[in-house]
Amino acid sequence: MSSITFQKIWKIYNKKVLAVRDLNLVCQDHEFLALLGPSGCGKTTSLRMVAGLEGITAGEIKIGDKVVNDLRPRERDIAMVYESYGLYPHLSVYDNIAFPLRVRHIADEEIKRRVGRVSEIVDLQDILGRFPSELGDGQKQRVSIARAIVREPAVFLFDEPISHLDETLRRRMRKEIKHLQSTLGTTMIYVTHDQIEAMAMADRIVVMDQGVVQQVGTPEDLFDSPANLFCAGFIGEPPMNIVTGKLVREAERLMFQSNGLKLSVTNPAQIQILETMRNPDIVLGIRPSHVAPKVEATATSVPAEVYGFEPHGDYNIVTCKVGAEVLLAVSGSDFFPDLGQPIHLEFSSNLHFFDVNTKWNVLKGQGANHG
Amino acid sequence: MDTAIEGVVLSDAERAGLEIHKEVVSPADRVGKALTYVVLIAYSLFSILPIYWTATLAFKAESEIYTKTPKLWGFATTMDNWREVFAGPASIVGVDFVHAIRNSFFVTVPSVLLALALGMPVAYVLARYNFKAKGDVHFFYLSLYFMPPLLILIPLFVLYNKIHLYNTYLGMALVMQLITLPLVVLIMRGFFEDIPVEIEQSARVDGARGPWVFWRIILPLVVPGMMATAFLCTIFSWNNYLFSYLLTSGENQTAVVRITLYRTFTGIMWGPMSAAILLTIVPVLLLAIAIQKYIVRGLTLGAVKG
Repeated sequence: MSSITFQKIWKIYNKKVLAVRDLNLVCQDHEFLALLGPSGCGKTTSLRMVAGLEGITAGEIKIGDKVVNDLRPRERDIAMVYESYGLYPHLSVYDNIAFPLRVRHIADEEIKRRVGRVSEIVDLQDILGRFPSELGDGQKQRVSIARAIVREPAVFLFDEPISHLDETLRRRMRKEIKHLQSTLGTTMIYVTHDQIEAMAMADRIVVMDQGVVQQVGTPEDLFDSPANLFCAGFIGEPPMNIVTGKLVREAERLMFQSNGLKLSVTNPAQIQILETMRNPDIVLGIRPSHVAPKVEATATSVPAEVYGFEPHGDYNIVTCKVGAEVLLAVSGSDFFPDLGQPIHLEFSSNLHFFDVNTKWNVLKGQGANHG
Repeated sequence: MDTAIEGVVLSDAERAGLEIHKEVVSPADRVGKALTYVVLIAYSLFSILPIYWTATLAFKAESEIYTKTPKLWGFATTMDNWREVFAGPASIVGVDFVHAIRNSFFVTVPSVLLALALGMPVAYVLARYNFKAKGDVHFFYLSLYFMPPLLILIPLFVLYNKIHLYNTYLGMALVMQLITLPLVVLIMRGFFEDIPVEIEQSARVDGARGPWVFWRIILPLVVPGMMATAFLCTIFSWNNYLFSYLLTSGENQTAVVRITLYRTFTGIMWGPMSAAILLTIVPVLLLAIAIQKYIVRGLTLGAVKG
């Protein structure tokens, strides 16, 4: 078990293509840390630098107290799980799992005992004699995970392990991987582009974009107070509503106004900062779950028109037109509007404001490289 | 690889109730299919007939060979030709053909093994690493492959005499590399490229050192390709006439060269020559049958990759 420390890590390919810029991060001992971002954001490169499969251009990576920059992969005491499984096609499931032990010249008796135990944990006892080509996708990934845990490494590195499984399997593997990590207590860095995966599993999430860390925080942090527009748009399903508008003052109250939408700002901390801003232009973010569609108008509701409708069973997603803006709202399962029907939207006070130029949350300031 | 069709098995009762749609075959399709068979059979005859013809000659007495209407079957068989081929130094023409076959082995086996030993690492590096001269290295082997050996025969002859490689097995194995080495490099590169790089990386992360990765992970995965490549090298090396003819002499020449000695000054000894030809084909044929499984897999894999 070990912590992992990134100190001022840079990765530049061919002396000009920037992959990771000044990454500073500590993954605590026993922590499940997710690296989340779109493809090309530098998350996989960061993971591969920890594994030793990718050189480090500048900075230091430590596993525990040991700087590992110049250590070979096999000297780092890590285990990795790949999106494409990386199983050895000519070896049986048993031999695949036993491989990391065999290369360490561990006695056959001990190998048998440990493979047996691990295959029980990931439920592979019945297919130990099969070959990878005879397995389904979920089984393959479980073999790959078994091979990672059999050695009891200091660190797990998971690179999009379940991204191309089907939805049902993904859901199941999410639970299994999380359970496994918390029972074994092994430090884990988990790379994914799927925010649902990261939110569901990780203790903390690192959001990256274009090689730069955007925000580090618990799933709640990321959901409740996104650091910037990128995080706001990336986290949450359905995605956050983003509306560009202006700040106006009306009867001593600070209001947000856009082409069709007008809301008053009630959060004192936001008012304090927004009042000091010279530029009245501002970007509003509000989660669909904080917009409630109603049939009847209330004192604070805003009139809207139904533009689209998606039933999801437990809840429904209503796409509404408010003036020129198109907003998503989440309703209860009993709300079945017709297209074009006039309705009323009730906004919660949970508004997020982002600077038009820097795209950062006005409450967060800019460029904070947390961690 | 076969993909098993999974699904619910239909009960007999259900199937009986189905009115199964019959595929309609148009007359044009029938003619097309028949024509395909005609062409295939004609080509098979075209390929096999000369070999069969040779085989009949090997079992015919001289009188049967020189008749005006040669028989493809129903002739009187004799083993005299084979006795001549296996007679060793005591044979009529004085050719120890068994010794010649042995020479072919001593040239072919080392030349194939050497080509694999030298060519596989080159192919692996070309497949896995990026470096400046990569294209040049590839082209170098390609150019060896396309270069007519006749171009260098005279300097080679002089050189071999000077450094005492003339008339040696070692010299023959070395000169065969002109043919076999490019084959190994060019074909094996594709097979190495087909191995997902993640497999190697996971072996390295799992704790394996370079040689272990190569012997335990990479090599087993390219065995079909390697067998097919080795087989091609064997054929090229075994059948090579020019190098053996020029760079060896007398008793040290390979079988394909020694076959010509049945053209004596009194005439061509068709019978013993045919027997010798068959004897020369047999080892390659046996090898092909022995590793057939690998050859089919190896060659088709390569074919798909292009």
